[in-house]
Amino acid sequence: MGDAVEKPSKRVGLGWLLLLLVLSESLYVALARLKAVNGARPVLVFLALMGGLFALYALAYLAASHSGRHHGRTLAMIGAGAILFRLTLLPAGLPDNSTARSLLAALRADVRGERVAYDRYQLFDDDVWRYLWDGQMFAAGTNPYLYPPADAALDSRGDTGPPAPAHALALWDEIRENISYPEIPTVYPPLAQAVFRLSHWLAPGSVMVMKSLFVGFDLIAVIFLALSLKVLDQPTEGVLLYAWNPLVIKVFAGSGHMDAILSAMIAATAYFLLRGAYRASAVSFGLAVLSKMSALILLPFLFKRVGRRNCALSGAVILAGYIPFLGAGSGLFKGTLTFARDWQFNAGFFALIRWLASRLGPSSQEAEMTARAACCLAILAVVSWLAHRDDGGAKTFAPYGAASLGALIILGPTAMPWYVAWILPLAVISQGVGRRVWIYYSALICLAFLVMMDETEHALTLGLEYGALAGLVWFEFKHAKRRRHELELASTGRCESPAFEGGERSPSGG
Amino acid sequence: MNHIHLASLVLVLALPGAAFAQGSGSMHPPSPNPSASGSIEDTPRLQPFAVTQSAKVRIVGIKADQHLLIVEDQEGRRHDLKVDSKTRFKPEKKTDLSKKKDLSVADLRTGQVLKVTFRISDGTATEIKLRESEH
Repeated sequence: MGDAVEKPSKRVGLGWLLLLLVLSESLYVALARLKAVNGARPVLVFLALMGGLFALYALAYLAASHSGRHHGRTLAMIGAGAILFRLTLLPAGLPDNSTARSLLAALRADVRGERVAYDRYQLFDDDVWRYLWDGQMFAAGTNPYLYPPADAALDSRGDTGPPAPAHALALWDEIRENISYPEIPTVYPPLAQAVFRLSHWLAPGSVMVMKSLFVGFDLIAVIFLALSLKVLDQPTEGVLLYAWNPLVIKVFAGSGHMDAILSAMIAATAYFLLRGAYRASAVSFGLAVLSKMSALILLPFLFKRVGRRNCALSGAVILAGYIPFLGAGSGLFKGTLTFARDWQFNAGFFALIRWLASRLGPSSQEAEMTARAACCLAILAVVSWLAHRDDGGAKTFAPYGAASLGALIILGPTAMPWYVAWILPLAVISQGVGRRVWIYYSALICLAFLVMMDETEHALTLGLEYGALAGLVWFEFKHAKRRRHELELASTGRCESPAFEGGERSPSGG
Repeated sequence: MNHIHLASLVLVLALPGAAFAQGSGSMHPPSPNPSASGSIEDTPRLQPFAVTQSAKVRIVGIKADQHLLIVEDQEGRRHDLKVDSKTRFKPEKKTDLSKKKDLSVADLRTGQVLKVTFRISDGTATEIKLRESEH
């Protein structure tokens, strides 16, 4: 009888999911072929496509939720969509993608290292050139932390040893020219450097291969999330919230950001914690820090769960990762310190404090320093408060971790859209408000790309982005409160914790 | 609503205040930090959100009154390249121009080979590197 009721619902859910997969794919094809340049039209078309993709994504989640728990075909379709969307966006940034033949020719040239086939910017981002350069430096035996790409000492790198072919020299000259802020040494930690080097070993100078490696890490995150949901006895279809998230697909497959390594390592850390595999969790956490230092913010929450000895293991992993690069001495963190001191983008809280500080009289430089200090204190305060509240349970690592990473991004001076991809693995295995808030943020932060219209960061954008987030958070809290009240009325006498349903005990309401 | 929810909401609701606080304006790009030895090129990106492309071209015409260069790419195709007040001029290393400072459009000659970085949307040069003084 139960089956008879469930089957039509499953069929409806799967049919809708297939339709939404096809519709999403058509939008990803359009996104891959978008000429993403400055100006109102390209940026608004980009945002319209992302908006459409997020709407389809929300509907797909609803469809997947109605297809039954642990349903194999639903999961297969989610997996197929996740891979298809990523493959579709890998060629984004190739100027010659109007026909299949020109696309293949450009990809062949890229993978063989014959020429730079990709545009400098891939869907408004251009970080991939630095990764390629670092990989080449590391492979050539040069410590990538030692010299910034613009350093004159690197000009004669081809003068010793066997002469390189002319096309190879031209390729690396062009890659070097494409690097943003070439006067600043690399900020990417050792695991990231190892991945860059692996990419270089597979295909020197290839954007496609570099992006494919990141997509590989991205899919590893998907697998860990599906496993985590299973351990939590939550509907595995929830993995769609990460696997089909348009921001995640855009930033990793489309723009080739290395943060996919961090997402995979955070997902692995959470999964091993849920399984009680503390050593594996500690190693995963060490690898997360070795892919991006921002993972360090999770340390207090890991410490509470795995203890001192396993945290020492994380430390040993981190130290071992840095050993090959110790020759750079103080240069090891020069790029990171420059980033922490100078970078600023899309930061509502920072902008507010800077404005307030500037009204009180100090120079703009002092106001900026005050704002940075205030951001730092605010992040410390929020993370300390979260750590104090943390119950140390395996299941609550995700909501506390997501809230800490969220605080780092929202309260920090630099809120790049791809940073939100760090939070999403933990958000997906949280429940209630603690999940939805970060999903909303992943959609809203796309508004930051409005800066590409006229190369100016407008106050209205920050107002829209954070105002809408605040409104949605408010709505979610009201809804959660009402739901808790209803649950209390409906289940008097039942001993049911709402921590993972209404989100009352986890940090984001959560 | 408990105090935790209230604190979170106050914090998040304060953020839109930034809209009024900041006012419109460009973001603060990172400042360049040349090394103490001076060996690092001082190459700040003055237009950090410009979607640009680089190309090696040869000047085939100069329309100074229109702030326009007519250039030919390596495939022999001709393009108009706009120059504005924000365009940076730099000498290519190891050329006879490398010691010259304050390069400008007046230093450009027909036949010169340039490495240009230009904004794709409107063809305005953000940086011009003079590769050779004469072609």
